[in-house]
Amino acid sequence: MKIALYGDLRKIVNIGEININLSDEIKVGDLLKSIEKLKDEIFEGDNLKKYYIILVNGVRIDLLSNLETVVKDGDIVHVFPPVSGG
Amino acid sequence: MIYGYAGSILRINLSDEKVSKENLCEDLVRNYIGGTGICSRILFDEISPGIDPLGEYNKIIFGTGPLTGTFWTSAGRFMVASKSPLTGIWAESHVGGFFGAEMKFAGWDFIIVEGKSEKHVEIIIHDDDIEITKSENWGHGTAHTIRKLSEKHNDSQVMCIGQAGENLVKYACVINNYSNAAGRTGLGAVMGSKKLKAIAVKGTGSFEVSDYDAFYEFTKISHERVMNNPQNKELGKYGTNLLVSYKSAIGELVSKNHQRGVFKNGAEKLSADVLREKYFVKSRACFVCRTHCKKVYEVKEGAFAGTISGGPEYEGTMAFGTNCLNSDFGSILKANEMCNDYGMDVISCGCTIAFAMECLERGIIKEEEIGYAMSWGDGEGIVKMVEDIAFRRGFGDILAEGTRKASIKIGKNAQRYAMEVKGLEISGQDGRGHRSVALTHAISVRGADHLRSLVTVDQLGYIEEAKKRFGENALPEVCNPYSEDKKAMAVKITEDVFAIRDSLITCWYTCGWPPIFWIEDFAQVLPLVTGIEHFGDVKNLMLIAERICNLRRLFNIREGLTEKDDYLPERFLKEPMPDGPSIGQTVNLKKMLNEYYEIRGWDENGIPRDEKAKSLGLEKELKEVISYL
Repeated sequence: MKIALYGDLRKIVNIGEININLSDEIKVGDLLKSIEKLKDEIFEGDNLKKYYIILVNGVRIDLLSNLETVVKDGDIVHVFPPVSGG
Repeated sequence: MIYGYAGSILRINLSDEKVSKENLCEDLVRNYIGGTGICSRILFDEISPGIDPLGEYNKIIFGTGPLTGTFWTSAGRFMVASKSPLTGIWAESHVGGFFGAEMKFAGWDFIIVEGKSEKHVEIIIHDDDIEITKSENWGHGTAHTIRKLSEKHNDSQVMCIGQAGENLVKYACVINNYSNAAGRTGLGAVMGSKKLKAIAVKGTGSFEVSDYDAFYEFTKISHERVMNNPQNKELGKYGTNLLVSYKSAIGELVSKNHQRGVFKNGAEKLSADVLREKYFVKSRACFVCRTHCKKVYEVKEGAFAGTISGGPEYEGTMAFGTNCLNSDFGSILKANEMCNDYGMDVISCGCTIAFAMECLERGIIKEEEIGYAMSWGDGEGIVKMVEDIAFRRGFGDILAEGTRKASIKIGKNAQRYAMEVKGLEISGQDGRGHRSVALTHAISVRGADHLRSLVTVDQLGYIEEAKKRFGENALPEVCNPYSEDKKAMAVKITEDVFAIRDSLITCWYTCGWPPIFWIEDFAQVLPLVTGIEHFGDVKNLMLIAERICNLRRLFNIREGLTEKDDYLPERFLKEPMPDGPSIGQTVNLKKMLNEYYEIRGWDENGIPRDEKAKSLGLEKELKEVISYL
């Protein structure tokens, strides 16, 4: 599976895409917290910081099961810094 | 004296060169505030239905609001309004920069230009001293004109047209500060038709606010709120271009003349990260702005090396990039820079070219008619066509009329591929992947526009903002990008709040997105500026907002607009999104439209009902409009 990062998150984590081989399913929150620099930037305790957006296969996680949304090998997780809509 | 205003309207008739000064009356302010509100009143009262938008009876207004020129954050916005030569209905475009503030320092809240000059002229304003002079810049681009006039007239602020406005390109725009455009609806052509090249203004005066100390304190807080907003930080660094990647990820990236929601193998090349790393030169800001969202980019290599461009924002990258399947940033920056200098709306220009590309692919037009290759993704072809449109050369002369008129002229069922509403090219959103914007495009007063009522919570999913703006009961539907439920209510509320925003006038980047200010903040700041307590009640402001929205609608109905004009091209209704996360989606517009009319208090024909007009003090106006039907 792939984690794609955008904007300043790329600079902070020092990479635009992270490819991971997942043998088991994992909750997206747990997956992202396992990446130390990302965890420090986008989480406040257990919660996602305000205005950061996570998509799983193009769908916002608030439309799925939030941080409990399960991801598996082959999925794409997009992580966006605060985006202004339009 | 009315606090927060310069107190005067400048009226200039170019037919007889008569110049007059009128008082801004308090009744007008109390009922319409400023900006779009007061323009709606003036244009409804002074423009007779059916007049030629490019004739002597059309008028063009440069307008400010009570916040313009104060030190409230984002108070550099001002507006231009008229009857549109592109759509034949209400024309309005807002723009940043410094011209609006300078107008107020010169003592003018509004400048109304009417009539038609016989020679090419420029209007030079130095406080009360008004001069109409022969234009020495006709035939030149906006950069030359701004530089020359600013140098000649004591660092004046300059609003001007380029060659596209002179040549009456129907989507010519008005430019100030080199790349800040009152972009949409063809206001540059209105100036061109009056043979008015530019207005230069220099102001040395000031105006007072009602409660300086309280305004100062609230303004300090407003600046802190902007500076501390995380979205503002991103906007300041990348402009709006992060939207390319976000829209690509959710399947709403306008591609291939609105056929698709993803641009495979192209979106990554057009990301904000690439633009920042390879092309960024510096940021620019408007008067008193903390965001600095305007960017200057430079092309350093390739066919368009040497291009220095103010922008593009997301919409420019969409129009000349994704919508034309063009992943070459060099050509996008070049086309954007040409639009700034020739004075053309990037959205209408790029989307008209995308329309022509689809016609070419389908064999409706032939390459020989154009004279050069311009198939999907051809950056060089796009750049050539931008020039041909601005100078109305060859096939560019047809595309200079805009998508609707060009499609009628081309015939052969080309209208099916014209992505416009009310004659205005559709901006860079797709209702199939962002449902509320489908309604916004269909009902907006100036045509397929996102800026009058853009709801972003179904795009971005900001639940707390959705609750605050639309109420707990609106959830979860209002945040669902694929549901028509609760969207009419959200669009109506947003349209009303934005009518106040556009009357103040303040920037949408602090109230639409990022969501920093909303109607409660407007109700707090307006009495401090104006001393008018009546503005301190949200209910009163929302009533004024409805009055503005309904009067603009009545202006359009009087011009012949009917409910049939609140449409979307069939592409959005009948062609399921072919790929990406929004795959299979279409729009049920009828459901949202019926609900919207109902919530607005309009009948099934989209005409305000008697009781609605009465509640807004618009009975006389409704009666007049109905007499024309």
